[in-house]
Amino acid sequence: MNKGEIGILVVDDEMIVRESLSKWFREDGFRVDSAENAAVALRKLQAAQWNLMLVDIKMPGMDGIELLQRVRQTNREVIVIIITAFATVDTAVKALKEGAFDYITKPIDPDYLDHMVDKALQQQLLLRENQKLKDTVSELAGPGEIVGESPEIRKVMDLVRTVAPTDTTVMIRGESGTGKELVARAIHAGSPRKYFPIVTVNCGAMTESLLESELFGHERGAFTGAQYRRKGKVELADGGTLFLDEIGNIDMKTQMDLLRVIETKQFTRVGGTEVIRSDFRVICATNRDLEAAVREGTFREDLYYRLNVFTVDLPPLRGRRGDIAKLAHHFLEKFSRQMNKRVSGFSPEAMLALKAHDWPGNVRELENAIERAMVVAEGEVIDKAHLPLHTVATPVRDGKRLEDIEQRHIEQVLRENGWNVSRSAAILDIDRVTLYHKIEKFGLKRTQ
Amino acid sequence: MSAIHLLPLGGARAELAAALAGGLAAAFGTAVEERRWEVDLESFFDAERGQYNSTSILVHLKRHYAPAARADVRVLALLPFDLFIPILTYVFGEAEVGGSVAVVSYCRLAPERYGLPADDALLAERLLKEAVHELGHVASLIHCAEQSCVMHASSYVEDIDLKGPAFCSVCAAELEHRS
Repeated sequence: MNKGEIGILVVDDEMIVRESLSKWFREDGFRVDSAENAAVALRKLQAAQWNLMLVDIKMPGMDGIELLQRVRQTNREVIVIIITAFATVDTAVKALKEGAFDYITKPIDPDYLDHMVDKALQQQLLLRENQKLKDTVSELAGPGEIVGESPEIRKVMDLVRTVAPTDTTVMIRGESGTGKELVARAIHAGSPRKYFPIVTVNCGAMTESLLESELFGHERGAFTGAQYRRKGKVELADGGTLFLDEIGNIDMKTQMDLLRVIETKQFTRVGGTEVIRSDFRVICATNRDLEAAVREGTFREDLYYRLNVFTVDLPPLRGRRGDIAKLAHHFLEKFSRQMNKRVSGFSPEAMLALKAHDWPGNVRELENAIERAMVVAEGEVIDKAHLPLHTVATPVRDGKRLEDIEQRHIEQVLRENGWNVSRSAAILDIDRVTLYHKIEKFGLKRTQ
Repeated sequence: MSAIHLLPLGGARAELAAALAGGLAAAFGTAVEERRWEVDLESFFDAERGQYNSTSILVHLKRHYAPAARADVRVLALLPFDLFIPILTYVFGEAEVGGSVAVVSYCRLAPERYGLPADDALLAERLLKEAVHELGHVASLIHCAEQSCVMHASSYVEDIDLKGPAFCSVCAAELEHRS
């Protein structure tokens, strides 16, 4: 980290000490500010991000130890070093007990000060990296992340437990935001392949040629810009699981290639001739009506049967309202940890609103709503006003914005063509993947 | 800067001042004038600590010497006494960052202070490095992470010996830009 990005706040009632220390750290290139008392320090701590505080133990009004206690109530990250005139065992123990990094006696040996600050910042960096790793690991964790106790989600977890130890191909179906990837990870984590990677391919996010290269890799010089040989996701999933998300959105040619590799477990890289073997299990997910796609001829029937061996249907959040409170508390705890905020719960009005909302974006929408509420919440409780439910609950349909007109037009073309996506896409002069993205973006649904 | 005024104070050794003037002229490529200035240093002495308050000396220089000099002149006071700033146990020198005045002491730079044989050449070398360092701060430079750069922070004489007397390319470019 650049030293200019590291903030040091010096808190001392003596101006000469504040000025001397500020100057000392400024010469090192740190961002420095000072406060003449605890109240000013708390205000500055709230207003900006500080990595380290040097706090004089003896100040009129609130002393250094009390300030340390107040800081620790809201901020667990900032490092506090206590400055004392006379170090006694009592003060030192008290400061350390309250969460100070260390204490230092006046006058300070300049070399000791530099080393202590370096050591403290190093430790902070390690702690942050450690927390990041923990968050990553916990996010990658399998069944533990599927939150809920409703009969609907219990049924899903039973299915996960049943299918996980087998090597069966699984199709996970559910609306966008219901947690299909989490279920895929839970199945992988419960399988004998758990010591090998689970490799995700978002099939809906790529064009035909990009997806082909993403899945099978490419040789050097296979196309313009292919400067190096690159392994594809199928090859990387060797020994583990290949998770094909949004499988309903892939084009016919890739469907054929995919069917071949799933059946033979062999493929060649784009631009290559070498036959490569890969042993992987397939889990796929979709929010599309694949049966309709098969009927319409936009999804290969043989691939459909190859993938649809064992189905896990994920209920929408509005279909398992009993889990909303538990999920909301789960996300509150998660963001509380991440944002270092002491928000402990929801007001009764906020919880009522959460339970009454329809959640068209499902668990993902709930997660985003709690994250936003955590950002704006100032006290210990999330109130109804903090929740962005009014902005996401009802899609705007009657507005005059270009986006509203686009939404209405797309909906009309789909309706007129009996929701035949290929035909609608041709009329709209956009490709099918783009149309699927628009359908998802506007939350369009087929109505009878 | 058009010139550096070097002020040997408190009976600073003349031959050290002369050597320092030559070194600074080469380092900054500017004229260095040794000036005499009468000042009562006893008012900056802290009897309890047995040291001189460098911050107070800087303030005094800024108020009483700098106004008489041209605006583009930088002032460096050279002292034989041990210096401190109130919160720290000692300093080798102090500067007004981005200003016009600095102070440097050779009290803690002499090998004999650490029980080693006297070595005037080494003392002059250390003094030059610290003087260039403080004048670098005057030119708004901050501490440099490059070990060999004269702007690398040094709390002990061993640190001073490890770094070179010149600015690294980054600090040199910054100095050029600021001047």
